[in-house]
Amino acid sequence: MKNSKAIRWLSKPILLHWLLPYLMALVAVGTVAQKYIGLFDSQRLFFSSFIVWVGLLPLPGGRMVTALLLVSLLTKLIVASPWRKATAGIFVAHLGVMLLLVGGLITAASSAEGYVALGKNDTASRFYDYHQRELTISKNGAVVMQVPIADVTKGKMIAGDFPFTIKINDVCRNCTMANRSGDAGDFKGPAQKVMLAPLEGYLEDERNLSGAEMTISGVGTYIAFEPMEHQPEFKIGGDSYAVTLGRAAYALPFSLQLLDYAKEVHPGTDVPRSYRSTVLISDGDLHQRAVITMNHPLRYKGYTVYQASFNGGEDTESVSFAIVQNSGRVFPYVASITLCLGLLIHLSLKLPTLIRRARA
Amino acid sequence: MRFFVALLLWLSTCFAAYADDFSYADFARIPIQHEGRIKPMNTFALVHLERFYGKTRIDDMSATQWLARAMFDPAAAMDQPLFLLKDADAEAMLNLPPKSDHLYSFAEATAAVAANQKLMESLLELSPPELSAGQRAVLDLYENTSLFAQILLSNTLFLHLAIDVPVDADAPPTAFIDYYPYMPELKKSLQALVARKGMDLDQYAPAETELARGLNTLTMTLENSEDNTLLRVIPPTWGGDEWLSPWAVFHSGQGSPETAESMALWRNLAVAYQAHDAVAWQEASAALRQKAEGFSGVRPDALSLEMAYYKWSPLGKSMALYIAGFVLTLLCLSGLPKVRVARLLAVGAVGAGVLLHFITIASRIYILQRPPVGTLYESLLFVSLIAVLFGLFLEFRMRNNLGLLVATVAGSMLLFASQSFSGDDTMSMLIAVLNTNFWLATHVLCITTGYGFGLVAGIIAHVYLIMGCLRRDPDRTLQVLRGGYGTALIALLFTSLGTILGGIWADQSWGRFWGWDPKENGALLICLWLIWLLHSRISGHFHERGFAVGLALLNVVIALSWLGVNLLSTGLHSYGFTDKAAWVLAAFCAAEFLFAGVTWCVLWRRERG
Repeated sequence: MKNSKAIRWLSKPILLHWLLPYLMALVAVGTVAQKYIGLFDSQRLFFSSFIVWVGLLPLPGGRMVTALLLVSLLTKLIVASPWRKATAGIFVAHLGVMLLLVGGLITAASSAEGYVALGKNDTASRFYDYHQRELTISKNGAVVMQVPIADVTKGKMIAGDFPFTIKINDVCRNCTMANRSGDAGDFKGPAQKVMLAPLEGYLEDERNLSGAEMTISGVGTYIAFEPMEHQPEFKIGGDSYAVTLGRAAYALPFSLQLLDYAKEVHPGTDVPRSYRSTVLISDGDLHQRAVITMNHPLRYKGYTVYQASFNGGEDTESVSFAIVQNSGRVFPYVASITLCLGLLIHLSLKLPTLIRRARA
Repeated sequence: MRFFVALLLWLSTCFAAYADDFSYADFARIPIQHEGRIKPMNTFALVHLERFYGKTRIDDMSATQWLARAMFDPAAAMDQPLFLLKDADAEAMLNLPPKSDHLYSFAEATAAVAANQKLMESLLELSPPELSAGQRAVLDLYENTSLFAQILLSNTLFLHLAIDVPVDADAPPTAFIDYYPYMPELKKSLQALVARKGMDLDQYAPAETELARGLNTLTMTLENSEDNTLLRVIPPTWGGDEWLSPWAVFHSGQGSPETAESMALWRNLAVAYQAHDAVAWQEASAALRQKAEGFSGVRPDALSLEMAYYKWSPLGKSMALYIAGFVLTLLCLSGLPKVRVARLLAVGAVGAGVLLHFITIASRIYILQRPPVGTLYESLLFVSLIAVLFGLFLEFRMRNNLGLLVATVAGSMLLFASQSFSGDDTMSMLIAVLNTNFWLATHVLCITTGYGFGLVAGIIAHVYLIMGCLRRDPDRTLQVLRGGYGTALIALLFTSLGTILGGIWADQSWGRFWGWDPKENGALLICLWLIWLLHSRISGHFHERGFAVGLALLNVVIALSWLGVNLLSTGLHSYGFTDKAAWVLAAFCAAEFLFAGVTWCVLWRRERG
């Protein structure tokens, strides 16, 4: 196997020589594109994709390039790294890079991140995705079906283990409400008075408010809109059903209550100096207070809770916390130490011969 | 509009005085809280004068003298040409008479602003990117006049008013603060007068006219002072860390025996200035300085250091020494006689320059009590120090003038670039997420050190390419490139460690290691570029020429990652800076590409024979 041509080719820097300029171009284009299409779309299009479509031309996306680099690195480490003192630093440094890439892979595959906004004394046991929206159908308060927003398209019929079908009449990624004039017809609930009007989407996807207009067979036509408190609710044969459109939610294995918060500014200015929140973690019989500040998050049961922002201007009304679960978070720490160690070894071996006086 | 007219009228009621033989040493040292930091009055004066006037002196008047005059003799200060408005469009928009020196007094500027109130309102509704250069200059003038008005009115509580309203007091009142307790009584008298004689001033006796005029002055003084908060010179003896201006103390009723003492001293200062009493001025300013310096939270030695920092401006001298060193290094390379002397002088100049450069950064660390890099300006100072120090190390190891060339080019160019920030107080406080000494000292120093080594590697590549084009000795040329290769390795160590540490910081404070943010991508690009060059050199895809051209272009990658990404995030820095910087950056990149292209072609043709 060691002699296989393909393996030998993979283990050489030749792949790197051609892949890196492409990766750099991808990073540069993806960075500049953020100014025009926002971070979320740019990341999806260039960095988290396997294929980037330029018109009809498929080009490798960030994930594919990273995967190829990882394969190349792995073959180099396995087949082309003879253990010699002179190349010890190079070996260790490459090991560090590999750890970094593996960590990235685990993070990309397994991490969940989202947020929760809490007013004083509010309690939360779930947190919400920044981007992913879902249409949730529940029966008597229990969830029966969840449809990601990407699958909620105009004309789509949704059917399932419930005695009706839902036909999507219209959907918008960012909507506002407008007055409905004329006959209310088959419209039910707030839809009798208002309708959804599409707005141009924000570049920051988390600011968009999604909505959909749908006809529920045998019941009527409703609108479901993220910020709306009363989304479609109706009764069929003694069971009450609800259809809601909102951020995808994840359950926390504990609950979090905001006890207090404080924002400090540099004296005499509006420049923030620190943000601090005191929370109460409740997990079964355990109740524990914790303080979360900028740069000092709370870590509990594999979840990390960060101070994200204070909402509501001068009189803070709520505090947003970012919540992340990431099984790959230890990798960068180990990788950076390994990489540096490798480079230091290599430098200490190499530098004296590179930087020196010319021989007379 | 009403405010400005009232202000101009009011200012004419102050007694005029001008003092020029005072000692300003103590006054300049009085601590003031400005932009969240305690600084000497001198810095406050310098920052504002530079902002309005574009220079830190007005003829023979120092910034501190100018500030004292504005605070204690507002009537004279408002007619002094002060606001620099170089934009012809802005002058036309405000119907200001064109002047050869483009300087307008406060009276002229406020009159123009007041007459164009509608224009101001429409401009204030535009977002910064929508403003033209002229519109921006108009808004800047508007902001600057408002700021200067705060200074002019900062001591009106204590200034001697040119009114003569008799009140029932032991000593005749002179300043607003004396008249204030009698204002309700005076109002009653005026109301009775109006009831008796109506509103027509012609019907009033002289004393009655004076009552109406005096009360009007007092009322205007009070109204104009409500948001006068800029001059935060009264330490918070009531607790907390927010200092207050004299007027804010008056309005908020934050009184204590200590505060009363400070207020009395400020009054003495105002009276001494107006009375042209140099002895009393000296006494009052020394007492104020001592009193404020005794307050906990004030570090007198840091204030002294800051005074010296601005007085001697070691950074400017350091830049001059680097430029001198560069000229001397060119002499060494020219092969003219007496090269040894030139070399010694060059080493001396760079050594002295480094010392002053180091003193600058050390002073800033002491004054701000945080690691040396927290802003873009500070990163320029630090990166240049790293580049110069490493240049000296190269010279020590290789002794071929390469290190001297690298040190002087990097030092003088980066310090020159840092001059474009000198308009503001460069010692600013940091926002919450940056307010952490641990990460500033690790990630930020690491990545900026990486920039420094990267730039050095880039400059070495330039030297190699020029030597190659000039057909210098091949062995010596190759030795230069080996130095570049080694430096690139060190740059890779620091940039990759710095980038990963940045990711770890982001993981600690925002919950994600990597978010594809422009600044992160910029750092990643530098690492990838270096990895690409080093691997392609090993694999044989790049020979000397290709490697050197790639290394020379590393400067472009660094410039774009370090400064260029700021252009992507709107609103990060002032737009004036960004516009100018964008052009400078574009010109720099174009010049680098041209250089790389031309040298590549020359060397390629030569290799082909």
